[in-house]
Amino acid sequence: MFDRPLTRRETLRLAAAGVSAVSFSRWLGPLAAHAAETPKKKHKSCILLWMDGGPSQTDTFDPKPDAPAEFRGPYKAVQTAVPGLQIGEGYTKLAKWMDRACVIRGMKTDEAAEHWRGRIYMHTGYRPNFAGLTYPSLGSIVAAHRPQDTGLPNFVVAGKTMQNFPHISGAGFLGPRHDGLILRDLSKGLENAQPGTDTAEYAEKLDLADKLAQGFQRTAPWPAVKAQRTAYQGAVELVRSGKSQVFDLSREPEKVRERYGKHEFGQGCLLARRLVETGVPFVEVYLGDWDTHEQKRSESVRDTLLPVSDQAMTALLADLKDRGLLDDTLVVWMGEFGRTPKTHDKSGSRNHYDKAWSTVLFGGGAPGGAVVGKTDDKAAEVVDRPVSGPDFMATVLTLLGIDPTKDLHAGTRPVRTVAPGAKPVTEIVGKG
Amino acid sequence: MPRLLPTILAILLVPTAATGAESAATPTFERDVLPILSSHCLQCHGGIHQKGGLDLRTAASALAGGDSGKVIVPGDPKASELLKAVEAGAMPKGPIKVSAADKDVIRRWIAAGAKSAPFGGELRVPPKARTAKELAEFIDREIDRRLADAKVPASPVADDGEFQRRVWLDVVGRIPTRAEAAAFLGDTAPDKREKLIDALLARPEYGAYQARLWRDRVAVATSANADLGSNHTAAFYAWLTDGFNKNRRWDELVREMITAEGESPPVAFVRQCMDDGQPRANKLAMSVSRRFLGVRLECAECHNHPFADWKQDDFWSLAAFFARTAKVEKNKTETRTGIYDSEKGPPRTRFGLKPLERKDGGAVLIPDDAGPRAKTVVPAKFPRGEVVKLDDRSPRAALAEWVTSPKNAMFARAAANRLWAQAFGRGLVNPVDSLDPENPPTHPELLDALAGEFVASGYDLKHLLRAVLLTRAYQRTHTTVPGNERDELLYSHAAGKAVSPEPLFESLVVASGNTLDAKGGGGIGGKGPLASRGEFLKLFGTATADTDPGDYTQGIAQVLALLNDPAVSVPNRLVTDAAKEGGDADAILTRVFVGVLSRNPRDEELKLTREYVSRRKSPLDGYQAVWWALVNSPEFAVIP
Repeated sequence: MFDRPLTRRETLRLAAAGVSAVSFSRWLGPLAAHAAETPKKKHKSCILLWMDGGPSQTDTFDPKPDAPAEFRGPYKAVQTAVPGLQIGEGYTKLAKWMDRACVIRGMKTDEAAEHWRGRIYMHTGYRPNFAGLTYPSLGSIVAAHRPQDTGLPNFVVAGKTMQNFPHISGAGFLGPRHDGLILRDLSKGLENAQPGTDTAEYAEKLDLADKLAQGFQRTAPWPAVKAQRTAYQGAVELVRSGKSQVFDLSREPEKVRERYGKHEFGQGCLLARRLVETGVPFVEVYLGDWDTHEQKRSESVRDTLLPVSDQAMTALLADLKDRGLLDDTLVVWMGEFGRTPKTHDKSGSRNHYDKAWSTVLFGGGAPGGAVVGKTDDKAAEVVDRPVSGPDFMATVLTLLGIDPTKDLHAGTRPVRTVAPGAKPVTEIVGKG
Repeated sequence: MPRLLPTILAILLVPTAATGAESAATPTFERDVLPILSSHCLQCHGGIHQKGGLDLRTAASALAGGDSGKVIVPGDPKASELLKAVEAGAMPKGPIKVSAADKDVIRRWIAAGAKSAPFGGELRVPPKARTAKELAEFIDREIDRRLADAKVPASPVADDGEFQRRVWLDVVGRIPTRAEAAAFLGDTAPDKREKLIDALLARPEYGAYQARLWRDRVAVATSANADLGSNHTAAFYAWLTDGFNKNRRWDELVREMITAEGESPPVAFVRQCMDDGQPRANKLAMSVSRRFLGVRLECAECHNHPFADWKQDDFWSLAAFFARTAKVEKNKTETRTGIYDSEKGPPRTRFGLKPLERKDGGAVLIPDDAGPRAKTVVPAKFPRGEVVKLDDRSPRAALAEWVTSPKNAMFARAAANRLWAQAFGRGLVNPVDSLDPENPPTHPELLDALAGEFVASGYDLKHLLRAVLLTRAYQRTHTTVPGNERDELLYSHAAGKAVSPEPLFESLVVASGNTLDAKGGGGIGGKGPLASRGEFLKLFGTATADTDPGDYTQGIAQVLALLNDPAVSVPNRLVTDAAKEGGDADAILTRVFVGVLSRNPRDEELKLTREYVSRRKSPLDGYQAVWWALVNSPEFAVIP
């Protein structure tokens, strides 16, 4: 019936039309053989390094070496590759890469009371549940704007700490087909992505399963059923394409794995690089817990989070550059908010703060060696170029070639991609 | 074709535009208009901002108008500024405008006199509880009356297969075994559904499953630093399982949770609200209000509630009852160890979290970082209730007594509503923790009757659940009939619920023909995520206690395990036994269908699977493949 492999879209169209997976046996083989080929990159990708809990601006990208000790905190400032640009000493390795970085020091947002509100606000550009809708997260918006032609999901999330809040990797009103694929245990790669039986046998089983599912799909057109079918189709597609080996980090030389650091975040960054190389448009790598209310967690930031992220990000940027991918890959470093300018103990503990904090963009067409915005001498107020959550979202989307003013659709209801009034930062995206 | 006639009648009788929306009744502010305002207007004209001096949260405040005068003229839509602004698109200012249908609702509400029917007053408690059957009949009358008002036809009763899958999953959290399912399908007794409901409610698994639902809400660690160990969670679970199986009164169980002391099992409820080594009064207030009163009072922790009429003072007045709750340790002056209310109250924690500052008579100071009302002294006061002098009373005991008092309608309504949601996938008030006057029930009379009945029955959860399960409304099929396809609120047909992770695990074990052992051991097979409950939940534990019952939460990674884990392709006990028992392919296939989906296969399903098996070299592998296909079907993932 078909003598060439079906594309995912064709398969879905056929499925929608009630035609089940047509003679799987004939196309499973040929496609799997193509698996090793890397498609040519046509779109920019994005790697979101999500610093959960909200890192201190002062302790990272907006140091205040001349402020009184209780504001300055426990870290010194170091010089970077960019004359005049200083960052916190925790990011000494990264300092050499600041010529590819664009630091936004004027983040000024308004969701700091609660982590989950902040997470949603900075992931979606909307306040939680505004106008009764669940908004898609950044990864899902990008996923929805890219063709699904790599045989891999368009949005992958790495890190088991994500488990407690799947809401920030959700596609909201865009529907579950744009949800992120959450990978909880990187050491195991993507498990069970190989068929349990030989391919011809497997294709017939899938065909049977599809046919058996049809009756119930008709009588129960519920969101839960659609979501199950979507996850099922996505899983089948991964098996079919044979591309799941990209998740297998043991295929990387040991030296490379060590260069990223053999901890979850380091390996997550390595996975992000592998996925972006294969054409996956959005990868989120998760690192918590930056919520330094008290000594225990402040010490963990000092001893673990800063060194771990310094090492992993440096390795990631180097690899992207070596592969010629850095110009087409936007790497975003951000959390849900910053932290209070004043510390309340010697270890540098600080509470939530959203009036003045920092985010950073690397590569992906953002200007290198740039600083946008400025805070006062204690990192307490933005004195120049404030950037709101929606402004930031619009900036990232614009860099990725997605128009933030366009409407998305919640059912039949048109909804702006980013909250109206949001303006991309022209210093970063150009005057357009 | 006796079935066809009612269908045709329904088509003739129902206007073409018939939907779940009600057109017959007079629109009221709370039921019809507020949901629209809530989506579009309350961000600027609600609890936080009152732009132009306008507060649209209640009918009274909306009718009072704003700085520039009245915005609603009852009976005269054309003179009402509110409608004019909405119709012209001037309001809301945001990108999402009010739909034409919603504008029409507002217009009709004003035209009909801008009526208000507030919900949430006193509860009428009947002197004597009804029997479960009488209550079921009452529920059906209420549901049917509303369906008739809206001219929405009801779907027929579900067949035995659909019914038994639903009732097993809802009551004991798993599917029936093949033997159990086959016995029910083969039973010809006219009262077999009643008998099944009674039998399920009498099983120890009833208590275990219901306790699991509550354990996941109030006794599991919610953040990495919670002072709640798995030993506490396990003790709580055992305590509550026993409580449900003995059918202890719900008010009594809740009192024990709120007043739990020392290391007693229900103390996990308090421990879930600890931070940095000490109980936190604000977290306890949040938990009590959300779980037992059905309101999200925590939205008023730092500012007045944006959408409901809760003030910051209300939140902290509730927190005041927990200001003395502390974790103490035996030393020279302290004789006890564990959670107690102490005169000293909790100390400042190691990392500097401050306890609530206490004032005379149980009053407290709102903490200095808690928004506009910071540093105000507020008394201990029950939400929408009286001020309490706590000088000589145990604060938690006083609160527990008030929360569970028959006079507190919120408590009974919240419990009845949760139980309803468990059976129907949706509360009469939805979400189940927003029982505010601003979020009225779809069936106010019904909710109040259920709550009144609950009090009259002595807070008997089994009684209420039994009645709900006996209703025609619960037993309807999910399949729609012409005219009720779009109904989501009137219970004209069953709405699907997703099978949550633990019930999915138990159902898979049962469907494999394996035995669930009481300690939670046993599994489907293999060495991976299907090997045991623990391994399974590590991968499939994607839902939380507050996940909407309709949300399917599994993704590609989980589906891959169900598709390709070695345990799903090796012939399992169910399949092997089905084949061993002999008979032709149809007989064997029927056993597999009954074992997995609790129903007999339909003709076309038999034909399809029979042909599939006949093409296989090994029939046993063929039957296993059918099992595999059914386990991966959408039907297995939901409760129809």
